[in-house]
Amino acid sequence: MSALLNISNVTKNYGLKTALHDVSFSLEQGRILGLMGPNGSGKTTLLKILSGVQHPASGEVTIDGKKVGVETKSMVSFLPDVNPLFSWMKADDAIDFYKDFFADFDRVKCYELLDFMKLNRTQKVRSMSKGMIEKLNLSLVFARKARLFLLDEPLGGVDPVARERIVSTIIKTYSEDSSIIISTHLVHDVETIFDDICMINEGEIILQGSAEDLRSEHAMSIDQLYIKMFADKI
Amino acid sequence: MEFEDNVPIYLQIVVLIKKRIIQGLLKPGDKIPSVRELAEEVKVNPNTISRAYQELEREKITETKRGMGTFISGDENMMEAIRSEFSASMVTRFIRDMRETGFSDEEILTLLASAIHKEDGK
Amino acid sequence: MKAVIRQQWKARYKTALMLCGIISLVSLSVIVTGQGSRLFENNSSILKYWLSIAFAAVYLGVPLYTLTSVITTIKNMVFKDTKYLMLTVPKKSWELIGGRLLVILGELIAYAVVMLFWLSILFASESGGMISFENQVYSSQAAGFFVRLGEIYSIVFVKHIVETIQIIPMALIGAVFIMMVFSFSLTLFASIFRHKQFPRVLSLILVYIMFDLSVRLMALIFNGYEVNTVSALWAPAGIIALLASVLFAGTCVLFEKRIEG
Repeated sequence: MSALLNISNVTKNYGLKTALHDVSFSLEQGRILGLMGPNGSGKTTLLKILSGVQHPASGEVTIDGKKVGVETKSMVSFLPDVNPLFSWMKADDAIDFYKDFFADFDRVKCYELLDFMKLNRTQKVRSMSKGMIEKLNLSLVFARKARLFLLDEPLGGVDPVARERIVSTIIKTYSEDSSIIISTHLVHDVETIFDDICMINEGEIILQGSAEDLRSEHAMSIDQLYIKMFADKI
Repeated sequence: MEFEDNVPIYLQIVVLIKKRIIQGLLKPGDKIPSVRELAEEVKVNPNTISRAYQELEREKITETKRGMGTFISGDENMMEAIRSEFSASMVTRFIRDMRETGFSDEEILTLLASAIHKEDGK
Repeated sequence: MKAVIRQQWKARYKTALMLCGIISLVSLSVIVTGQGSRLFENNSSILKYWLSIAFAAVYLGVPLYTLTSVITTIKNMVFKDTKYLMLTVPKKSWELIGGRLLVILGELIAYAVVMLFWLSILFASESGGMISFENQVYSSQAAGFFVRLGEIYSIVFVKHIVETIQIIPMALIGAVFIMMVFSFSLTLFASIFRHKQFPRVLSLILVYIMFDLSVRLMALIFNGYEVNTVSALWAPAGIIALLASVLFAGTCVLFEKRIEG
């Protein structure tokens, strides 16, 4: 069975700056991947490419065998690091939006998740705190039965209790038919939920593999491994 | 749950289940928590939990009955085996640590005896 | 595309409602002051100019503002780092742009209806039948407001219904064309300058190019073309519609490519 996600030799430039250089990896379905690296290393660019918001300058990305495009957008659920919702929306409007555009969106599940995160549905996005917006977006993203979930820094700017809830939700959402990619700095808090790890620096992958294998091989936690790999780079 | 840095997570899960068995939280014949339940409880990847469960199955600590689920095996010897395994590793580690710190074997025995005595006295 | 239209409408309707309100209030105030007749006087009074400017500001300003809002939509999707929610949905670019276009047309129709309503009241309420409409000087003041109002509506909707019905699609075609000129220029720029940021200076250059191009185009195609009847407008309208379609297609293609990176 071929991998759910295949990235080959992807390069992306912004003017003169190279955001991604010759990036390749694949992700099997039913796996959770941790994408780690410092700010500006290319994590967000990579996720934007996977979600179809940007296209690479060269290289190929296929999801479930299909090139990234309209079809894959219906399979991918993306949680960006900056709130994508329009400021005129209330939580209910955002739910309507998702329901309108994504066939795999489950309204009931969304309500359950919002309750779990203790969020009020009638509140305007404009008046929500950063943490609340994060929880809303997370509920929307996870209420979909997507094949690939992309979470860009889902834990930043969120208090420890909310963080726990988010991690629980990620594990609850896990299924053998789908995969999840989580980009994060906060390695220590969540390393136990990753199947696979990918460390990226300045647009290039410097380390990848299964989390457990890497732990055994280097005899240290992923957190410590991250520190070791990046100690002289940042 | 806090995890140690240099032991594979799945093995630490195996140890966790074994500990629960010895502590009596899981008795022979009890159904083990589902992969998802345990994953959510300890915040660990479900695949890792699966792997741990496979290991437990391999060591015959659990057995899967078709159509019914996975249960702690009702083997009496199994309990004893786990207890020995745990005590052995804890004792070995203790002795090794004490020796490394420079204590002689005699000192170790004396300290141990008086410490336990104090514990009993409480 | 239905979903795009629905969501875009939700985003805009409150603003549209407010603008209709503004149009109504401005028109109402002009009528209430009783000075509306000054607008039609044949002199150069300061009052006339003041009224004309204020009136024009709203009656021209609102549609213009709406037409340019298509630029903001595309700009957000193509350049901004945050407002790309619409890019994550499984819709083709022609659906995204087309949907937005239809909503804007809907808005323009709403504004037109409101404006024409108030204009009809303005014309009908003016003292003295000095307004001649198509060389038909209609009833003077003696006939009363509602009679005059009725006459205006009958002239537009009954006597000249054929012309009226033809003008509506032509106006829409014109609006679409203008918006497509905006959209195409913007996406053309985006494909050439593949930077993330949109330098402000570029908008000025953009505006210049747009006007320059459209004027040259018009001169080229319609040089010496006189229009005497409404039906004569169909030929140019058709050409403009064709141009608009070409620009729409071009915009969509460039849009895809831009996202293509």
